[in-house]
Amino acid sequence: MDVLLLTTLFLPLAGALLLGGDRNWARWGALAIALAVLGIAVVLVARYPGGTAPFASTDWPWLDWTAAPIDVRFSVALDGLSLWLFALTALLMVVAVLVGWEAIKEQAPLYYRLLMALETGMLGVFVARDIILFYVFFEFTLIPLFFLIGIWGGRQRRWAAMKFFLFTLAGSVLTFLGLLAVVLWVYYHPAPEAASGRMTFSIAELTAALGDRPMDPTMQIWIFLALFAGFAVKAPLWPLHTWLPLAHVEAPTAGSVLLAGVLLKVGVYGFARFSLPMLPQAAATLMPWLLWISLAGVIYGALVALAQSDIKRLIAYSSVSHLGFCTLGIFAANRLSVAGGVLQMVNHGLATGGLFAVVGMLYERFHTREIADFGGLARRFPRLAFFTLVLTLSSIALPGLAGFAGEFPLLVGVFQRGWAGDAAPHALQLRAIAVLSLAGVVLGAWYMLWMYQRVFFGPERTGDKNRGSGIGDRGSGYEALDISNPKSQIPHQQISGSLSTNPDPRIPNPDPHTAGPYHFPKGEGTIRDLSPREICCLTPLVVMIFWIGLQPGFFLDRMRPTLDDLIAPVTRACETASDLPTADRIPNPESPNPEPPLQ
Amino acid sequence: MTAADLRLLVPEIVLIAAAVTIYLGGAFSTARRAWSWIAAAALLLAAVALWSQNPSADGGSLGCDALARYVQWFALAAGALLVSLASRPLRFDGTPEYVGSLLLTVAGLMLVAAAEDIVLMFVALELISIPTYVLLYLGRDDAESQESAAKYFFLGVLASAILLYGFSFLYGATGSTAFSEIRAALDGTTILPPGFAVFARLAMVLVFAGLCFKVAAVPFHFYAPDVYQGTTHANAALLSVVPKAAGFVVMARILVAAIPGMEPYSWGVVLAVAVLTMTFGNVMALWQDDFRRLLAYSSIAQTGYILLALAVGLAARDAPGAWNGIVALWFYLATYAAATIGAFATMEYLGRAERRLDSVDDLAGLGRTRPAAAAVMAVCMFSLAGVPPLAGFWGKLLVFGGALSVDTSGTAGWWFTAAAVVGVLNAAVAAAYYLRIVAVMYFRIPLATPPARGGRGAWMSAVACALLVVGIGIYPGPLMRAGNFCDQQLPRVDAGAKHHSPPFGRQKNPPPPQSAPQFGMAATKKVSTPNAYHIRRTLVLSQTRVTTSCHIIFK
Repeated sequence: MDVLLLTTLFLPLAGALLLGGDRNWARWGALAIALAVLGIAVVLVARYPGGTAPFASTDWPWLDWTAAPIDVRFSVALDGLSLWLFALTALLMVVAVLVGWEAIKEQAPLYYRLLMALETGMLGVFVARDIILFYVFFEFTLIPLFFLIGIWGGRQRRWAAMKFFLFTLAGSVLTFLGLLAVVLWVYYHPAPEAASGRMTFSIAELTAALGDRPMDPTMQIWIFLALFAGFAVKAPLWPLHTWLPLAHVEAPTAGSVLLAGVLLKVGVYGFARFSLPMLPQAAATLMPWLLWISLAGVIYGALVALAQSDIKRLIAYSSVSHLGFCTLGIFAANRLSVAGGVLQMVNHGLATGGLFAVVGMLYERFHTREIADFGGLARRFPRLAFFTLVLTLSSIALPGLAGFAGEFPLLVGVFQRGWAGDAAPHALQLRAIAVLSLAGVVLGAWYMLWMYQRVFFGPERTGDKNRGSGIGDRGSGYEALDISNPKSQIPHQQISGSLSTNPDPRIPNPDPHTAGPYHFPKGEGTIRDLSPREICCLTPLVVMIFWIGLQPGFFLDRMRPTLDDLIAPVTRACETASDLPTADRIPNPESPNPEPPLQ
Repeated sequence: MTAADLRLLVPEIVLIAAAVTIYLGGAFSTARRAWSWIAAAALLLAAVALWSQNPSADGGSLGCDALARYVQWFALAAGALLVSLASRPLRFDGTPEYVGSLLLTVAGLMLVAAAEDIVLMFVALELISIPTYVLLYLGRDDAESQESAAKYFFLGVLASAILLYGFSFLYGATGSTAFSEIRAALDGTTILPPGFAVFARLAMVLVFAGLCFKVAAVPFHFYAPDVYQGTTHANAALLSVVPKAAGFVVMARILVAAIPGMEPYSWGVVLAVAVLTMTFGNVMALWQDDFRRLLAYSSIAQTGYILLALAVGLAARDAPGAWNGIVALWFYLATYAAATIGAFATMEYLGRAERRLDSVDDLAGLGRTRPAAAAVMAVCMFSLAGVPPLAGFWGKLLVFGGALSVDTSGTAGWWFTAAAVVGVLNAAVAAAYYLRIVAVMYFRIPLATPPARGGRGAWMSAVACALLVVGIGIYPGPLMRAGNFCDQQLPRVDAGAKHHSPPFGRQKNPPPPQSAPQFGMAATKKVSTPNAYHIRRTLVLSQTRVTTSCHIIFK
């Protein structure tokens, strides 16, 4: 039993049950809990010994039932795969609490209680070491997010919440059947020496058992597809991604941050935790298919992101593209690609989570997310521009930032998989995929930088609804948005007094005739650059991005032993497939045979 | 009737005596609250009597195995929740009749659970049905409720007749009304004259059809939406729990335990009905705006899952422990009942005597106007949808785990796997309408604050249900264990003769041997074989007698 890890699970749960009072109590309480959990997470990460043994494990019987052999346990632990995702969750939760600090006014206690419940669920998914416990947490995360989207979301929030819940549930019920089938298969095929008729649900034991006594390949493929249904919707893989843009756009900022930062990773995590190690033969057989689907997501997400006019929607589609990269790395099942894929999940959480937070900050200020409504923000909002730049550059994998540290090994791994040998099955397809995935990198740089350029550079056009009207008639947009609307949700703290009475040196041009959109002609005030709270919110993300980018070894070393263990069965399965002296497996360049060889 | 039988009957006798007292006393006072308290006291007394019974006592036509115990406790708990739910003052003067009838149905369910004899079982079923007809009629004079009561009455009588017809074949084929003797006659230890197995098969189909009405399974479900919509929340809660529980008890007693050797035929029928029922219920529920109508379709759909568990119980009776379906059946029934009573109790609480909440839209904005009630309702809805970590999730785990455990060496395993896939997809469809209720409560602007004058009793009942749902969800072990005892003490065909061959192809080690205690096993008793002529004569006579008496009763 490890008190620290249990505290991270139960402290937010206690918060979810007990937080109350008025808005201030609730948000300070939530922040305190999130910070405490983050502190514990840091301690746990610092103590993590490396290696493959589970760390900080707790193992309690939950549904131990001797008459029937069911042995469901409350079993939690950290290992190399979950370590960084766990820490990422703890970090992003602090960000999520902070981004809604001012924006959430209605039913604030309920909001923070739901956030805390969500934190328990998300942390639980990554630390669960029992299949049923994993599934309980996996499904449980849906409930708080359903409410977060549906109550505090945008205009289409109800539909978005329903669609999110139903899509994810429809997939994950099939995953549930798949997980049950794995458990039952292992139970009905016990090791010859095993005397006990215990039905284990422990992930480690099941993986070990399936390593010793692999399932027959057809069964593996069926179960793989069942697991795939839920994880692919969650990840989301093309073409099952349609719930994601809607949910992202309609969710409140904290919801988007957590959805992109953590919850999408749960799907990829599921692939790495269950699909690959438990069903290696199926993973090897289906590998070209899985890689094609991932690649389709990469390219499709990037192309659709290029066409978006709404920043939040653009970032949502960029998530489809980036998560495609992550699954590309995982499914390629190469030492480098899997490590890169897992690190890329963390990076994507930092960068995209941060970008969603930035979009939320822009929206709080200008009440629009249309790219065309912005322009030249960098001059007025240098801090915002700086933080966004780092997040953007990390997102497009600039060397020295986190994105590169993940994407580079990932792509190298994919290339290694493609050039593993001419005799390897589907070598030509794998090579085509590796080459095409580079296109995703280029497209990613295109849409992100283009978005950044349009929003932060060029002529100033902030919040002006009359698109293209340029510098000439600035200010009208503000009146229309804020002054004429008494229900404007711009927090008062961010609207200071008028420029003449405002000595803030951060406003560079106090002349009301040239101050442009940042000036309220009626003397209402200005919209300021980032507040200290918002800087606190983005700084840790940027620090982590630099740290991972400059010292990736620190992060990779801690996860590598576990990951090597996880993909070892797939590697073996791929090797045996390529070792077989079957000439027909060598793909014909004229007509590459996409049919996976069923053995 | 022996003294031992009488001692076993004490809880039921207490309830019926209390009901009669309340009926009589009602002539002098109609104070609702007082009668509710008396009913609650009677339930408590019955619980004490049940607790103090010697569990090993064995009375001829009355069983007291674990299944009987489980359902009896279930009946008392449901009865307490329903009495509490219906305790608010009504506009009419029928209070004592209402409470008395409620107690009679509870007593009926307890008797059904204990019955070890066809005749006693049928009488007990009527002890549930007839007070239910009264309840539906009581104090309701609008056309809608008249229609619903009439519909339930006529279809209920028809179902009873079908059931009785099936019973008559069973009696005719075996020459006995006691389950143990029927079992002994059919399990192969006694040679029946050729052709008699057909009668048993016919009996199986007819009994199942009659019971499908009680549990509201397709195609005998048509009454449920109309009846639920036309009646009160309290009655709808009663209808969705008590007759269903009774129906499943009889199914378990007769299909699983008393007609051995029929499994190859019966599981297919039950499985088909299960899949149709869950699909039909879920799809129809998507379009409902009336709350009780929606929950009626929901209860039809949930019946489908329970029937799937029953089908698993028929096809894989020897599967280990939790996976043989019977455990899932009892566990699922309890979690379903808790969530459904909780939902109806919340609705009852939110309304007021003059203005009942009927439509789903009446709940708009409840999350802000009545947060506690909304939370209770949301917990019940999520549990019905099977979202972890609530009770409904564990029910679904057992049902679908059971379906995946069925032997794949034949076609059965394939069918059950397909049914499990259809079932989980159905669960996703069902989530759509359960979530719709939650979405209406939390995502919509409140139109008007519900009066919430349904009484403290309704509220207590709702909160108790929500706590049960959450509690079972967090720690499902004890309830599963209770379900397991039910399974172990329900007679098996022959544990040694037929090995369960596991799913997923090959099998290296045989499963651990079952060490289930066998009660009243077939091997211990042998019926003297009647000759063919005698049996045919009995058959014809019994049919004529039973069906005419049935007609006389209900005309």
